[in-house]
Amino acid sequence: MSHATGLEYLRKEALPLMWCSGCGNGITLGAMLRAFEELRYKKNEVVVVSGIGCWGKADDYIMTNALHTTHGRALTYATGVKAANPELHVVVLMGDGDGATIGGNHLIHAARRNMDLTAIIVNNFNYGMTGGQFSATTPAASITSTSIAGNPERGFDICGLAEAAGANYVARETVANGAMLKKRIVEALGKKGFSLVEVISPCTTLFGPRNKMKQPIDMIRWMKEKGVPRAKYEQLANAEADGYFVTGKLVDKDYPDFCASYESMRSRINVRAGGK
Amino acid sequence: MDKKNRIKFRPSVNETNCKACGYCQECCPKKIFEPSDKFNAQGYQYITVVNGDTCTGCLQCVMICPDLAISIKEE
Ligand SMILES: Cc1ncc(C[n+]2csc(CCOP(=O)(O)OP(=O)(O)O)c2C)c(N)n1
Ligand code: SF4
Ligand code: SF4
Repeated sequence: MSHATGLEYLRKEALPLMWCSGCGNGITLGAMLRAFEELRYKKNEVVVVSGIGCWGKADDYIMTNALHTTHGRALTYATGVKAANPELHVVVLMGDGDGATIGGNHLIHAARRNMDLTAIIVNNFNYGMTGGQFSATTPAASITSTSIAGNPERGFDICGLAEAAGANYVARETVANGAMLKKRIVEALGKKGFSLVEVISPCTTLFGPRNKMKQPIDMIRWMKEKGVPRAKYEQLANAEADGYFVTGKLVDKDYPDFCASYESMRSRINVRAGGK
Repeated sequence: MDKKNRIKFRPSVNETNCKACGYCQECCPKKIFEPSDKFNAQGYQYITVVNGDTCTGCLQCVMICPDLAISIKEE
């Protein structure tokens, strides 16, 4: 038995990857390419839509169709791609700054519309590419370049937001478990309607060292300890205060997606107009 | 399965692409990864495989390597 390597989708001539040593972007990229292979996706049937940021550079390494868009707006371009050709598998790659901060409003409405997209948000708790400023997911009291004495704001629960806005599929995993991450991406890609996989990921250069995790491996150990299934989270006395977070599949529904609803409305109009 | 017919796994590290994060060293249950005594063109003291024969093909290193630098061939 051989395993899915995902290498057929990797642009090998662009290696080594641009990311820092230990950065979780490469782990997420690998998991996603292996998911493509398991689903036997043809390269010309996939469109990877990326925003701006370290993770947004991922499309440089992928051999499928790709659309590198503006910061915070990847979901809007992806919505257009999907509406124009519902046959395509559209995957949207965003950082937490991109997808949940500047682009947070688009996240709400892509989920509300239930567009058949798979969003992969790599949450490294800060704006990596621009020097480690705090984002909407930076936990309270964390140190970043713009919160040198601790973040005065609270961090966003991206999965809770997507669930409330109406996403059909929501999951959170950490890069410390690459096999599980791949499984969630496979599930998300297979789901009709809006899917979100939030990937908890180490920014080993900016976030980790400022927050008592000097070495890359310290961040992996931290997420292994703090990421727990919902049942365990609920048993812990002070889970939130102690920095624990829930991993696993959080939402799994089958509400009709936008393209299906749109077609049904269109056929109603056609019937009224006498089948024209 | 008898010992002779067991699948052999051949792990290897791409020394050009490795960035010496140490994740493979931490996750390998058989401890087959060690830093080499050389540096690659990126300036990292890349990882090498020291006792690859003991590899069980669990793929934990492949799944966690951020630089897609590890491959495991089966024989
Ligand atoms: C409209 C606009 N505003 C600001 C920027 C500057 N900018 C580039 S990347 C980035 C933050 C990226 O952070 P994140 O999305 O979390 O991704 P990461 O780099 O951490 O992967 C910002 C603010 C920009 N390119 N465009
Ligand atoms: S700055 Fe952070 S997010 Fe960007 S490549 Fe480096 S570790 Fe990754
Ligand atoms: S996990 Fe990959 S990049 Fe990190 S030390 Fe091992 S081979 Fe090198």
